[in-house]
This record gives sequence, C-alpha cells and structure tokens, in this order.
Amino acid sequence: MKTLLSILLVVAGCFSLAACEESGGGGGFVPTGDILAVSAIPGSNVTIEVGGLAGSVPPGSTIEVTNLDTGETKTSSGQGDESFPPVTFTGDTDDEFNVLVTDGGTIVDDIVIGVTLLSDSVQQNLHSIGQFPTAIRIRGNRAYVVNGGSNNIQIFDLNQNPPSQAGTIVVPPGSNPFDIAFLDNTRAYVPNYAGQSVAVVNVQTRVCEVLIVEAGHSGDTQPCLAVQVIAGNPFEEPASITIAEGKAFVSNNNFDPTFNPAGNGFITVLNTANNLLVTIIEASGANTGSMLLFEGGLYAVNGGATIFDPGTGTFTCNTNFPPSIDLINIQTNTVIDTIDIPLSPQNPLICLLNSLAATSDGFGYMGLGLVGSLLKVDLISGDVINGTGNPIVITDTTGLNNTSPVAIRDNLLFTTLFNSDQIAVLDTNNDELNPFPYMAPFPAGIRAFDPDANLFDGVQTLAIRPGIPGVDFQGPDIFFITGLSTQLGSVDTTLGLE
Amino acid sequence: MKKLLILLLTLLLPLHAFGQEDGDTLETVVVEDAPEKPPLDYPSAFSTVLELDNFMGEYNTASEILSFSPGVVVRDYGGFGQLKTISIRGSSNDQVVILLDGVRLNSPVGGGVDLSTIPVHYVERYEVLRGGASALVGSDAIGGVVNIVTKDTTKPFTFASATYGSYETFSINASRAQKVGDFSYLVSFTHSQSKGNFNFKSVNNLTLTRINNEFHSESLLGKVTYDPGNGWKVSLLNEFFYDDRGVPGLGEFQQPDANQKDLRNLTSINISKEKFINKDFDLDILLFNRFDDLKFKNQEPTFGLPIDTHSKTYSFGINPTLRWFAPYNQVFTFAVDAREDMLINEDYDNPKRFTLGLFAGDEINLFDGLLLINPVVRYDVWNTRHETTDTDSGVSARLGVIVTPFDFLSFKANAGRSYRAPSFGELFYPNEGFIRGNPNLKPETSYDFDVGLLLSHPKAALEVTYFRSHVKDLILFVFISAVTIEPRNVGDVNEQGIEASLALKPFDFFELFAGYTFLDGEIDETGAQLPGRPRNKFDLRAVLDFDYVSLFWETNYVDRIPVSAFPSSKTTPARTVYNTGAKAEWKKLFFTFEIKNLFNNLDVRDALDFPLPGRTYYATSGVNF
Repeated sequence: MKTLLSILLVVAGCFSLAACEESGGGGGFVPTGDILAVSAIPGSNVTIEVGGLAGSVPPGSTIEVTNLDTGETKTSSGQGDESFPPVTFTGDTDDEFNVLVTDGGTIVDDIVIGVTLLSDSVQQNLHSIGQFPTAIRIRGNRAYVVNGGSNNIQIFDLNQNPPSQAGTIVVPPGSNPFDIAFLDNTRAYVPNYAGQSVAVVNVQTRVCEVLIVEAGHSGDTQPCLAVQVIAGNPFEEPASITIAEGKAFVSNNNFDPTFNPAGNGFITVLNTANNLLVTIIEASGANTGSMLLFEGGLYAVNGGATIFDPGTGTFTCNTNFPPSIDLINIQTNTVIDTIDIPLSPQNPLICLLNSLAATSDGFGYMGLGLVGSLLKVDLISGDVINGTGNPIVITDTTGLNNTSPVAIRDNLLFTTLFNSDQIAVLDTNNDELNPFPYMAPFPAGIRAFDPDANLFDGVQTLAIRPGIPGVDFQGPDIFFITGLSTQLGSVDTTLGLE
Repeated sequence: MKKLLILLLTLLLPLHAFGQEDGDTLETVVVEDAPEKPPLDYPSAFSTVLELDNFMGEYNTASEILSFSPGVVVRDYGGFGQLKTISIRGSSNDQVVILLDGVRLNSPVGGGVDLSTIPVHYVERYEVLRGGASALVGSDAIGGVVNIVTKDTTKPFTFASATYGSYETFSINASRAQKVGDFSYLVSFTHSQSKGNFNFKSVNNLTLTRINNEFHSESLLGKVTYDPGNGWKVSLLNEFFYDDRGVPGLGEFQQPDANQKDLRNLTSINISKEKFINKDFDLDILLFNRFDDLKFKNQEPTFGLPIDTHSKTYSFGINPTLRWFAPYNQVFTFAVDAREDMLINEDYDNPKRFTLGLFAGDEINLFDGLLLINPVVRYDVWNTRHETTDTDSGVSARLGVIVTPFDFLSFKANAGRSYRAPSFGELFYPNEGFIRGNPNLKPETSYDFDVGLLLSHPKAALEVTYFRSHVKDLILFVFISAVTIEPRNVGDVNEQGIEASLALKPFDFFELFAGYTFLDGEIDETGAQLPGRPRNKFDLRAVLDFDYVSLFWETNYVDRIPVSAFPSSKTTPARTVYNTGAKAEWKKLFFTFEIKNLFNNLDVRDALDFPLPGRTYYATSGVNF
C-alpha cells in the first residue's frame, strides 16, 4: 500500500513540479540497484544494516530508514554512484524497515523491506570430502577438491545444485596431494607433498597417468599407470603448482633440514610435453608456496617460517627467514626481481604468507598462516603497501585465525577465517572490510553462529567460480571446504546481495 | 562342553533365582555354574555374564567375547594386538571402569583400558554391568563396569593349548589350578605373537597392507588361596603382562616406526571373613597395588613433534567392605575405598591424586521376593596434586528396583547419577604445540535411567531394556585453533537406546544367542550423532553340539560409525562379518579350526576409521582336564 502511495505521489509531483524531467527524463529516478536490509545470521538483538547499492537512489537524496517494529529511524544520504551508506540497527531479523527516499523534497521511493540474511546465501555440508583437504580449484563447471589425507582429488559437478560428485582421481598411498593445476581440459598436475612427487592425472578418465618422481623413489606408485624418473632431487615438499608456457612450475617448501640445499625453497620446472625436468629455480626465501601468474610474470611467495616454543606452546615468526616474493621470468626460468617483506617486531605473528591473489590493476594480496590479517603489495612497482608492520586486519594480529587463502573477483576479495568459521569480504578499492551489503563475514560454519562453540568446522579455503553469477551460470558462485568437519559448502552471492 | 546359554541366562535371572535352592527350572536346566553373587552385588542392574568356558578351545580375545554383550561396542584400532577399548551404552572409552577381581585396571592417565592387554585364559567370566555405576565403583563408571573374574583356585583343572593362524599368529597357553590342603592355586601363562600385517581396502579402493602391526605379549597370573574352613579366607593374586607392539597409526596414515611397550603388574590381597563379629556380618578387605609402565616412541608422527615418552603409573589402595544381613530381609553394605594414583612422567610434572570414597547401600527384599529395592549412595573426594593442589568431590547415587510377579517374568528399573573426574592426560598432557592438556576441566556428570523386562524359560530367555542418559560437560579433545588440540568440556550429550537379547536352547544339541543394541546419541552443541558409536549393532552365535564335534557360527553386524562430532560426518561403512568354526573333542584332547571374517570383507573399519583384517584362519589344539 505504501509503495502504491509513493508511486502516486511521485507521479503527482511530476505533474506539479518540472524537476522530474531533469532528473529522470520524464519518468523520475529509476533505481537500478537494490536497497537492502542485511543481517549476518538470524536472531533477535542482532546487527542489521540498511543501505543502498549503486544505482539505488539519486545522488544527494535523503534516505530515511525506519524500523517498523521499533519505530527507530535513521537517516542516510545518496552518494555520487547513486548508493547510500548503510545505517545500522539492532533488531530482530523478522523486523521490517520502511525506506523513504526524498530528493529535493520529492518522494522518490517509499518501500518496505524485510531482512536479507547472509547466512541464507551459504549452504553448508553439501558433500563429504576426504581427510585433510588442502585445496579447492574450479575449472569450468567442475570443482576439484584435493584431499591430502585421503590421497585423492574429488571432482564435483557444479551444474548440479547441490554439486554432485562426478568422480575421484586417486594418487598413490602416502602422497599427500596438495594442489592441482590444469594443463588443458584433459590433463592436470598434482604436487604430492609427502610423496615428493608430481602426478599427471587425466581429469576425463580420472586416472593418474604418470607419476614424476626422483631417482631412488621408494614410495608407492600404484595406481599411476607409468612412472617418470627424474635425476637429482627435484622435489622437497612440493606444495603448489602453476602451468604456463608449456611448463609446470612446482614450488617446494623445502622444510626438511637434511635436504640439500636446506633453507630456501625452490621451484621445479617441468616440461609438460615430456614431463622431464627443465630446471630448478632457487628461491630467495624459505617456504616457497603460492604462485601467481600476472602480466606474463610468475610471482612466487616465499612464506617465511615460524618457530615453535615447546615451553609455551606458541608460534612466532622466524626472523632468519623473512617472507618475500620472487618474480620469475617464465621464458628464462630465472628470478628477475624480489619483493622483500621485512618482519615487524611489533607483530610477531605476521608471517607465513599464503595464497597470493591480485587485482586487475596489479595489487597483490596475501593471506597469513597464523593470524587474521592480510598483506598487500604493488606487484608492478614492487612496493609493499601493507607489510608486517601495518597489515590489513581482518580479525586481529595476535590470535590464531588464519586467513590462508584469498580469492579476488572484480573489486571484492574473499578470504576464509579458519577459527571463526567465516568468509570475510574486503573491498580492494579502498581496503575496507565488509563493504555493504557484506555487512559482516559470511557465516560458514558452527562458530559463526555460536562464537563460544567448542567444536568448529574450520573453514579452510575457497574458490570462486569463473564467470558472471546469474548470467554465465546459476546457483552458488563461491565454494569452500572445511578442514575439520571435511565438508563442501557454497555461497550464492546473487541471493539479494548483488 | 559347557552350554552357551549359561552366559545369558545367568544374567537374565531375576534376583530370586540366585537366592533359591534347587527347584528353579532355569537352574536345573542350564545354570549349572551360576555365579554366587550378581555382578558387583547389585542385582537390580542390567548386566551380562560371559562365561569363558563357552568359548573354550577357540582363539578369541577379550574384545571379541565382550562384544557379544548387548549395549557393548568394542572399538578396534587396528586388529591384531592393537588398542581395543570398550563403550557401554554409547559411553566413551574413559567412561567404563574395568576391574580385575575388583581391582581397577583404568590408568589415571586416561584413555580407557586396552582390552588387548587382557588375556582370556585365566578368566572365568566377564561381568558387564550396563548403565551408570559411580555409586558402586566411583569415578568413570558413566557407561558401566566390566568386572573380570579370574578362575577359581578351588576348581582343579589343567589346560594347555597352542594356536597358529593367519599372519603368523601364534599363541600358547598353559594353566592349572589345584587344591592342596587348605591351599589352592591357579597359574596361567600365555604367550601371543603375530606379524599382523593384514591387507585392507583403502578409501580409494586400493588393496593396501597394514604395516608395523606386529606384536608379542607375555602374561603370567598366579593366585593362591588359603581357606582353613573357619570362615576366614585369604587370597593373593599377582598378574603380570608385557607386550611390545608396532603402532601402525591413524587409519591409513601408516607409521612404520612407532612402537609401544606396555608392562603391567597387579598385586592384590583379599581377606574375607564370613560371620565376622557375629553371624550377621561379613567382612571383606581388598588391598591392591597396580604398576603400569608405558613406553611409546614415534620419530615421525603424522602430526606434531617426534614423541619419545615413558610413563609409569602406580595405583594402590585399600577397600574394606562390611556386609550386614539385617532384619526384615535387608542387606546393608558399608565400604571405604581409598586409592592413590601417581603418574611418574616429567613431561606431566608427575601428578598425583588421592581418592577417598565412602559407600553405603541397602538391598531390601520385600513380599517374599516380589519386590527388591536396591538404593546405594557414594561420596568421593579427590585431591589432585600437580603444580597446584585441587580438591573436588562428587556424590553418586543409584536406586534400583526389581519386581518379580512370576517366576518367569521380572521387571527392572534403575536411575542414578554418575561422574568422571578428568584424567591426568586430559588435565596435564604436556604442551607439544599441536596438542596439550587443560587443567581447567570440570568433571563429567551423568544422570541415567533404564527399565526393562526379563522373561525366562528353561529353553529360552529374553531381555529387553530401554535406557536413557544425559551426560553433562562431556570432555572431548577438540581443535581450538588451526594448530592446537585441547580437551574441553564441550557440553551435553543425550543418549537413549534399546538393548535386546535372546537365548534359545530348543534342543540339547542346538543353542542360539542373539543380541541387538540400538543407540541414539547426540551432541547438543552440534546436533551430530556421537562419533565412534554405531546406531545399530547385532550379534548372533549359534552352536551345534554333538558328542565329539561342535560347530559354531557367528554373525556380527555393526552399523555405520561417524568418525567425527560434526553433522554429516563421514562414516565407516556398515559391516557384517561372519565367523565359523568346528571343534572336536576326544577324551582330554581337543582341536579347533576357525575362520574369521569368512567372506573376506575388506571394507571392515572400526572406531575412527581404522581398517581391520579380512579373512583369517586359526587352528588350536590342546588338552583340557
């Protein structure tokens, strides 16, 4: 009824005021963005934000938001991009809100909205996954979950909702697969962390075709169909893999102090045409892990190391191994530049860099293995924007709520929070956390709903489905895995959020 | 050959059956060796007695025999000689007390009792008391109690056997009991060993070999009883056990070098006097000392730092009990239970605990056996010394009722409160980064209730029980962060279920036992089914017994078992395993051939997804007279 009334008022106003022609071309302001009331989880006495997405209100307009259940009213104003900043209420997620938009004294919109729940966009426990999952990667309409403990890779068909398991690729017992990278639509490469090997798997037939091992390899090789032996010591805790220019770049943590050379990590370069060794690139830092192809260069993260004090049971950053990022020329297979990231005495847990992801304008973001913060570097200039002394804080800098994986789509960065069972969102345009309508991290596990819960799922890592949600595909666009409850979950950001 | 039916019927009998003289139909038919007393002198409890004679000549372990009891689930962590623990009515390993002739085998470090360290040859029977029993035995008995009763020294016998089987499994035993004047003795020695490296099917459907699964163990039990016939009786028992075993690790995370050595020596002296002071009093004094030595080494664990630990635990104490046969068909029992537990391990800072328990109970028999009321109450106070000294206490109580309207039908009901004090392992596990103890734990407490009926007939017996319990402040080791596991009081657990058992002996040559357990257990915090417990379990054993030959068949079904405390947890596959065998007896000699897991089911996984062996064969021969 109120909506009808507002339409009548706008129409009536257009007859009496010439201003309508200027702002709306005769039809008034036509919103293209949503006005939303958002809460993270259902309940009473929860935080509810009411705001407008770009295109929802005229610039300079006044927005009056009233909680119809409590009568509380708050005001916001239209921004240049036709959004309006959210106003915050404490209320019940059953509450309704009246949003009255006036522009120059004219009522442009007068609507009543209910609360959109972030939790409604999350689906947990979609499918059981294997033990000690380490990665989830998406290619096309398939998600590949790498199960380190189960020595397999589960394949899920994302065209099904919920995703159905389309098959499993098995690597030899004891391999501890850590990652997967795709050569093409048929073949993928899997580094085996404990097996000190790389498996070449056929994702169509779901068979391990070749196991690439060092000479003298004594572990199991079944069920791989063939074994490719490489002389020397090509692998030592191979953790991540990237394929480019017909080569597979395998990063090696090299945590084994007896390995020669000990200390820094290294990158093993394999020829994907014959699976032979091309070369080994010595990294400039320890614990070489995540890699990112950007603008034709390969950025390899040397995560640094930690020290464990058995007396106190605590971890601290190892100052002997500060993190860094090596830029590798993938044609010459050489390190051509290094971005050093000095440790900060003020933040002794800011280290153990993980999962580098970049925005289109060249800013790289990295999750951390111990605490809920991010680091940011300018990949083009090599400048450290947010280093260990001034990290982007997601939860804190001292707890153990690691943000290991980061994934970026457009201007939004998504990262998992292991201990609190959440998925946080960062606006990379301004590095602000929880840009509206992401008014809080997505609740993705037990502790997100009950922070005092003793048991938690351990939301571990995520992947974003390529394409435009709602256009290129229907259904969830983000998929995550949990490390403790070992489940596949999803987020559908199109459910009233975008 | 003894009758299988004994094992069930003796338990299904209501109280009056134990008290009656000749003439009871059940006794005359099958209950030839019925125990003199109900388990733990608590007749109203639902309990099972498993007589070892019924399995004589077969190659069995304590865990295999105990798993026949309704309400009992044995968790097998890897087959031959590996850790095996017991759960009763959905309890954890730590929530079951196991006694050897009344002496606790539970280590103060926690983790429950490893059934693989209890040989079967010196055992007369296992008494399984189902339901909370802290009022009877103190801390830990939230799920129930298993009392292992050793063979009677006054019943002379000689037994010797040798078994050889799959995976180079080899076991020999020699036992003898003899009476010499006022003295009688029992000596039993057992040696067992196995390579144990069985094949199993991996989660990826590959056939793998379980490695580092070998073991050998030695056991020696000696028992001497002096009975001059004047009411006094003194019994001295010493039990020694040692094993050396590989520990293959969690499920498929096989560890080639992990090794464990266990040593246990238990000594007890039992002094009893019938008609103490006057004819209405019996006195029983139990003094005991138990020493456990555990060495564990794992240079490359799947998680955390290398482990090289050596723990010694001492438990010693005294347990005097005075029983008064009071007027009006009452039996009062008063007892004191004083025990000191010590852990000698520098990593734990050598914690110690003194526990004092005071017990009072009554057994009121009314209306000529129609109604029996069984109230008991116990107060325990324990003082734990570590870096600081903490004192805590708990009151446990239990009320049981038996109504026997007809000789063939009786009803039982019990309700009570039990508790479990946190173990040294839970409180003081050394901080190794990945795992640590939590000194701030509260005791677990439980309230439980059960009701059921018992039908008995000379050729059949049926028991059906409903049970329900609520456990508060359950202690679980949980991840508190990505890198640390710590025990926490994770909240409450609700459990309910049904136990049913049926024993049939329609003909002299045929007998059958079937047991079924349904368990519905849920963790409040997650709503998930309790991990490590199947919802359904079914056991069947049938025996065809002819003059010289007997044949037996066993079917064991175990439902899917959740491996974690989360909703939608992964589960082990449901499994059905069939065992069969034949036994030939001629004069004093016997020969047995058995096949376990007859159809070579390689999908058998137990506990937290530990694989178990496929088909195995055993041949046993020996003498028994």
